[in-house]
This record gives sequence, C-alpha cells and structure tokens, in this order.
Amino acid sequence: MSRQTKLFGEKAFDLLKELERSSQTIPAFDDDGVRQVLEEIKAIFEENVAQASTYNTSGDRSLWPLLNFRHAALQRNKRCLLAYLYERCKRIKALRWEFGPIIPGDIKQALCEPEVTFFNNYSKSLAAYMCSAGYNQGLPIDLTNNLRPPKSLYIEVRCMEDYGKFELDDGEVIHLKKNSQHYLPRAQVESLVRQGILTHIA
Amino acid sequence: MFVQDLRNDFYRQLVGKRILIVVNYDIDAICASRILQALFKYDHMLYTVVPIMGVTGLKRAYGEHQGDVKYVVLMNCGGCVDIVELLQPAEDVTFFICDSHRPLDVCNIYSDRQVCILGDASLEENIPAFETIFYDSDGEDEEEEEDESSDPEQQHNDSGAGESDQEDEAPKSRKLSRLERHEQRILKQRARRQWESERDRIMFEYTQFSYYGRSAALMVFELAWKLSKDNMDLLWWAIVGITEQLLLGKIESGSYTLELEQIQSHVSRLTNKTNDQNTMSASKITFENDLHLVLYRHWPVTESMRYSRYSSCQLKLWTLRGEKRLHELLLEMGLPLVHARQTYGAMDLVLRKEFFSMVERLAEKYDIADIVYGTFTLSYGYRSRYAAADYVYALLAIMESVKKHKTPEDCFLEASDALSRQHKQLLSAGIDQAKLLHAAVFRQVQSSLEARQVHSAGSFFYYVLQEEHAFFSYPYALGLLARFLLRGHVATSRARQAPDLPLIASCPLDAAEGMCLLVGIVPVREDSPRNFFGKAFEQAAQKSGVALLQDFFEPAVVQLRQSDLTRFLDSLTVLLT
Amino acid sequence: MSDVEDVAETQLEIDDTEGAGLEDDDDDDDMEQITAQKVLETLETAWINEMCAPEILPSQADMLELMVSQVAHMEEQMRDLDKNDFRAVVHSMELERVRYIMASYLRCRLQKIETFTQHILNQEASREPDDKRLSPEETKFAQEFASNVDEYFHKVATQYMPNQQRGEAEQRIVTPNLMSHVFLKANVAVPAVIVGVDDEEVDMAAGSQHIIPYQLVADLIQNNQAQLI
Repeated sequence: MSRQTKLFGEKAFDLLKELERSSQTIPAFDDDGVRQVLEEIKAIFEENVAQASTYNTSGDRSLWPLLNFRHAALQRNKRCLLAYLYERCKRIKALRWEFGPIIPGDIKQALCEPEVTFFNNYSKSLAAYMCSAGYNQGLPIDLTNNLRPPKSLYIEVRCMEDYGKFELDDGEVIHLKKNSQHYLPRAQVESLVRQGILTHIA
Repeated sequence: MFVQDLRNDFYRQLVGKRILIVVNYDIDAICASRILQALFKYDHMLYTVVPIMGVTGLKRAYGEHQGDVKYVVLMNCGGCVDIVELLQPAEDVTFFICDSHRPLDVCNIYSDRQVCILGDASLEENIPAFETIFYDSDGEDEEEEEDESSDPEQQHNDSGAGESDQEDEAPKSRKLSRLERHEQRILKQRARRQWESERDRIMFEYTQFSYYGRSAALMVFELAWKLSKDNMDLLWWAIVGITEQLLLGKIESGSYTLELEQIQSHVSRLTNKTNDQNTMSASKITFENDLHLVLYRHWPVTESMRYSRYSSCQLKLWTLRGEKRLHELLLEMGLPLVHARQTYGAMDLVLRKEFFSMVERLAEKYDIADIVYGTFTLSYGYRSRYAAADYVYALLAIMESVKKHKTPEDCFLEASDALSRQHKQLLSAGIDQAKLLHAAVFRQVQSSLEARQVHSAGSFFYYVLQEEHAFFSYPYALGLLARFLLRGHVATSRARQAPDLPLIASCPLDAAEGMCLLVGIVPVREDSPRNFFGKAFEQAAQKSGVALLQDFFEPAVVQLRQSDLTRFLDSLTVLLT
Repeated sequence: MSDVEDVAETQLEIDDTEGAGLEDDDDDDDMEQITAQKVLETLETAWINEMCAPEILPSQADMLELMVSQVAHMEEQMRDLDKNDFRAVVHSMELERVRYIMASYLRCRLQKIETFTQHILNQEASREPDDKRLSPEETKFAQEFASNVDEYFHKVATQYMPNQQRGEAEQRIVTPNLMSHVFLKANVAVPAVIVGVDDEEVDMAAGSQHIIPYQLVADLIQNNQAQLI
C-alpha cells in the first residue's frame, strides 16, 4: 500500500502541466510519465476488481464509497492522459501547417513512433484534401499559403542565411545571401519567410 | 556620363526593372538607400540591397548577383574607381552611381552609356577635358602603323581606311624621304611625350586631393521631391545624411549652410502639407540653432561638454584647469552643478528651456563661439526629441559595434533599422553605445596627451596605438579619435606651425594577421576638408615598396602590415618635406 | 469592397465576350445567370458566416469551384498585362485577396472538422444526401482524420488500458456550443423570432443587428435571411 503516500492522479496532472508550461514548439514525448499513469490506472482497476468481487460474494456495502472513489480517480487519470495526447495531437497538426510535410530533425526527436505515424497520415490526408480542393480545374489550392490577410503585394524581407538562387514566377532569379535585403512578391516568398530563411521587416 | 535629370534619366529608366542597390558603410549611404527603397516600394519594383565594405566587397557583391540584374545602383561607392575596368560587366548592365566621394574617376565620367553618375556636371570642379587625358586611339593606331610599315603596306592601309585625315596625310608621307620621315617620327614622339607628361600633371592635380561632394541622401531626396513622393520620414533621412557629412568633417560648414536653406523650405512645405501640425503627437521637424555638444539631450551637461570635441578642446577640459574653467562657465550660466550632473532630461524644465540661450550668451566670452550651428530636430509624440546629430552619432556607434557574434553586416542592417521610427529601442541602444564611444575617445585623448604620444615628423604629426582596441579598430571611430586628438594637441602645443600640420593615426586591426588601420586627418587650420593623404599614401607606398591595401572608399583610410608601418612613415616623411 | 466589385465586373465583361469556361462547365441551369460578382459576394458571406458560426455550415463547394476557375481565368488575362501597369497591381492585389478568402474559408472548415470530427461525422451520417453539409472531399478528410486520431490514441494509450475502460469513445465527442452568442444582421425583415427560454419574440427589421444565441437563429442564416457579422 505504498501508493497511499501519494495522491491518485498526481502524475497524470503533472503530464499536463509540463506540456502546458513548456515553451518549446513541442516538448519530448514523456514516455515514462505516460507509462506510470497507465500503470496507475491498471493498479486502481485491479484493486477495484478484487474488491468488487468480494462485494459480490459477501454483499458487504461498506466498500461502496471506496469503489466509487477509485473509479473517479481512474476516470480522471484517463481523462488527463487523453487530454495530454490530444494536446500533443494539436501541436503536431500545427507543425504540419508551419513546416510543411517534412518534420525538422530536431523536432522529430521529440516525437514518439505513433506520433510520427500520425503526422505522416495527417500530412497525407491534408495534401490529398488540398489537391482535391482545386476541383476539376486541376489547380490545387495551397491552404498553408495565404495564412494572413494580404496587406500588400510585395514585402521587404531580410535574408537570414545563405539560401542560394531563388527563381520567381516571372523568371527573375534572386540570389538570396545572408544579410542582403530584398523587396519581393509576398505570395512567392511566404513559405521562405515561414521557414525562417527570410524575415519580414516592417 | 553625368545624369542630371534624375527623374527622367534615372528613375524612369528603372521603373519596372529589377535593381541591385549596393550600399557603402556610411550613414549618408544608408539614408540615401532608405529613401530610394521607399521610392521603389511605392512603384512595386523588386530590389535587392547589399551592404558592402570597400572595393573587394563591391566586386564580390557584384559577382554574386551578376547575370541576374541589369541595373545596379551604387550608393556612395564606386565613383572613384573605374567601374567597367573593375567589374568587367556584361554589355547590357547599366550602373548608376550616386557617390559623394570626389574626385570621380575620369573613365566613369566619360563613359558613354554603361556608367551614369547622378549629379550635375556643372557643379563638379576642374574635371580634365577629354582630349587632355584620353589620346585618340584612332590616331594612335595610325601612328603605330606608320612607324612600322613600309610603303606598300601603307598603300594598302590607304585604300582600306577611308578617313579623310588619313587620305590627306598618306600621300604626303609617301613623298617624304626616309630622313624626313624619321624626323617627323621623332617630332611626333616628342609631342606625344609632352602630351603624356602634361596628362600626368593634369591627372595628378585632379586626383591629388580627395574630398566630398553633395550628400547622396539629399540628392535622392530631391528626386523623391520631384516625383512628389516625399514625406517627413524621407526628409528626415536626408537631413541625417547631410548632418553626417558635417559632423565627420566631410564638407565645409559653408556648403552645409547653403544646403540648410533648401532643406528649410522642404521642411516648411511638408509641415504645411500634413495638416496635423497642432497635435503634439505628430512627427515634426523643426529648424533651430543648436549646440555642437555630443548627445547633450541624452546626457548630463557636464559629460556632454567634456566629451564634445569642440568645447573640450577650446576649454582644454582634460586638464585640471580646464575642469575649473568649466565650473566657472556653469557658474556664470547659472546652472547648478546638481542639475548639470544629471541627465539633461531630468534637469529642471526652466533650466532646460534656457540652456541654449545661456550657452549662447557666454560663447564669445569663453571662446567657444562656433558651438552654435543650425540644425534640425525631429520630435514625435510627447517624449522623443532627437537632433539630427543624435541620429548620426547613434548610427555610427551601431555601425561599429562589431562583436564576435555580430558581423559588420548585422551592424549595418541594425543601423539601417534604427532609422525607422518603429525601432526606437535600437536608436536608444545606439545612443548609449555612442556615449561609451565618446567617453572612450576622450579618455584616450587625455591619456595620450598626458603621455605625449603625438609625435611630430616635421611635416605632419603621427600617433600610433600599439594595441587592438574595442573601439578604435574601426575607421570612423579612429577618425573621431584622430580629429579630437589633433585638435587637443594643437590646443596644448606651443609650436607655431602646429595648426597647419595634419595627423596620421594608426591602430592595429587584427593582431593575428598583423594588419593595422591608418587614417590621415587634415590640419586644424585648414578650413576645406580636402585631404591629400589618399594620393600621398599611394605614392609613399610606391616609393617604399610597402604593400598598401586601399580598399576603403575613403582614400585617406588604408590598411597595411604593421611591420611595414615604420618604413611607410619614413617614406611619407621624405615625400612630404 | 468597391475594388472587389470593380474587378469582378471587369472580369465579367471578359467572360461575356469570350463565352469562357464558366457556363460550359456547369450543367446546372440556374448557374448560368450567376455573375462573377455574385459568386464573390456569396463566397464572402459564406466565409464570414463560417468564421462566426460555432457549428459547421453547408459547404459552398459550387461557389468555390466557380471562383477557382474565375481566378484561373483572371490570371490568364493578367499575363498579357504589363506588370507595371497600375491596373495590374490593383488586379493582382484583388486576386490575392480572393485567394485569401478561399483559403481562409476552407481552413476554417477544416479546423471545425478537426475539432468536432466525431460529432460532425455522426450528424452527416444521419442526414439525407441532399442535406449533407460536407463536400465529399471534406467527408473523406474527416473520416481519415478520425481514424488517424483513434489509431494514435490506441497505439499510445488505450490499448494498455483495462478492457472495460477502452470504450466510451462517445464520451470523447466534442460538440460545438450552439448556444454561444453571435452577432447577426438581418437581410430581410423577419417577424417573430423566438428568443430566450420563455418564448419571447422579436421582430427583426431588415438591416437591424442583434446579439443572440446561435441556435435560435441557425435556420435564418441557412435561409440567407440573416447573416453573421
């Protein structure tokens, strides 16, 4: 009965708090925490099953409140755990919108196996949707572009790293080199801005 | 080729094209490029801005964008070098040069299409006439052929080239005897030699002094005005541009005053146009007489007085006696020390309002009459009020705030950002940095004068810093130091010819590579900022065989190996006596 | 908004003269009368409604399709214009705006689908084919998304839970709060709208604006009698 020293559901709550408080895009998947919560759920469940069976045989109702309490704790654990996963889901979705179909290496390390699968599937169905959104015109609408209402056709950008040559729609070739400043069509450089190669200067 | 009508021959040419703007590391250039960028933005023209430092930077920057752009605008760079020779551009590339450096390279001036210099040819001084410096290459060919050819070949030549000149000449020469021909050739050679020495003399006279023309920022602003696209911000940048020229001694105060009048008319025109002049929060530019005191609106009065070159040197503020004199001045002004020692902004409002008139009243008496000058201040909102000089000093400090993790390019871009009103915090940081710089300059001057480190080489002074310095390893800061030092030295020196002597200051750049920076400063008494050191450095280097790196667009700022310094100075001494 | 109309009208003229794609592609008869400007207006209203409404609204796929072809067509026209022409700048700005509206509209719907996946799918299942609110593509996306999330949950957590605790998927269904208040403007006069619990009634004059729980006026919006603002 060592568990009695600590509160039920504490670990699960911690999971959520950690996630909520982290300032990273997405913190590393807390494998250990999730396992502990799952174990706790299991343990509570087993105790309940054991006591429920004694109730069934003896009809002793004095354990009723305890059973109910355990059940509530179990529900709470589950809720917290799923909330944790759901929140991560949301962030992973945001990754797709932010970085496109390929997860940056450093972020990928923070994800667990099923999460990567989730990302890939999500990415796939989003891409499929975007392709079909152009309907029979054969013009896919890239929903990840045009994220903000357009204020002007062109924006002034500063190059943050050596990118090399970049060709515009009208054939102009721009040499993007660190610390150079450019005035370019917004629509065409939006993705570069999102990737952090260019920064928009107001 | 000069382009005078900027609107039609420069701007209209560029509309709709992709443009590369190459900007030199100076504030005038930054201001000018900001104005130009604003214009390009209004017209939705794609452009690329690249900051460059020196000739190598220009070459590299052009090399990177070669082939992609057909129109290149050079801001405060490239005017004094033969662009076509240097960059070897393709036929269809056009360069527009907006450069305040003088003298302009003659090849750029006489380029017929590819190189266009923005400005008015009639304002330029004694540009050598085309015939005096360029030998007609047709004539040259002919002469050479004549030298080597025998008669039959000449006949062939005759029939081949149908030029009237040749037709007249050729039959005659055929009749001449061998001796006569020889004589003629000698005569021709002599004439040629004479012409060559004459050309060299003219070229030397032309290139002997380096100086500065009109501010590039002002020129571009006038373009904006003619396009009716000017506004307060652009005007302010132009003012900052020309103020930099004044403060760094690039132009005479006379030509500054001439420009002031024009700027004033722009100011009143734009102020009347924006009808919200009554609201305190609107941005407003005002002309006023101000004091040549560094950043005094952001500093305690005593500090500012001490760290400003003019007041400090006139009152010799690095000495104990000078300090006393300063106190005397403050006393007579009626400015309590308590107030003088706290930040200007925290001073009593009444004192603040009267500060200018207090100083002005006593200026004559304390021999600091020139401390008053006309300038502009920018105010927006209730708190911010900046003199053009504040901007200049802040930007200078930002530009030279290079650190390990901060490349010169970063500094350049930061300085450029600090110009916009949205980035007030950058400007404030720049002002703080500038305070440090000026305090450092003052301390260095004080210790150098006390240790008598300014030496005389007869015809000039020299001052050599032995160690790399956080501030003075950069051209502008070293220039500031040198000018302060020369003035200070002259003020304390008893030698009568001291005000007529120039100063050379040197500071190690990079200990590992053993390079050092060398700047030449014109004498104190010399009113015009014409600087002969550019040419002198070049000749001294030739004579002594020292490898000199004249990479900067300021000819009086050069780099050389530290081990060569003594040899170089020796040869300079010989040259200048 | 005058810009929008200008461009739309210009475009319309081009359409008329060339008799281009618009009509040919559509077999719907009443579609032929629709103008480019009308399409844009409908789309804008749909976009704003979608942004403001708590639940997902019927898809405007038809309008969107028209607009996409319209945009493609305009781009074609733009290509002939000198890119420094003043008109070119205005037009391409307009195109950017239209594109933003379309993208934003679709994004907004996707977001709702992602949030209320199961709820929306359940509702769709109970609707007649003609009443479906999602376009086929959206339905496909919603189904994929739902199974994707379930798979992830299963792999990471639910499969390790005791058997009895695995189910209860219906507990996880997120439903939109239909009683949240919205701002709306009546397009036409609507008499006797029931507001509040005790059958209080309000007459909405044309052009009048109200704050009201969404559910009470949901039908007005679908009938285009009122629009959200």
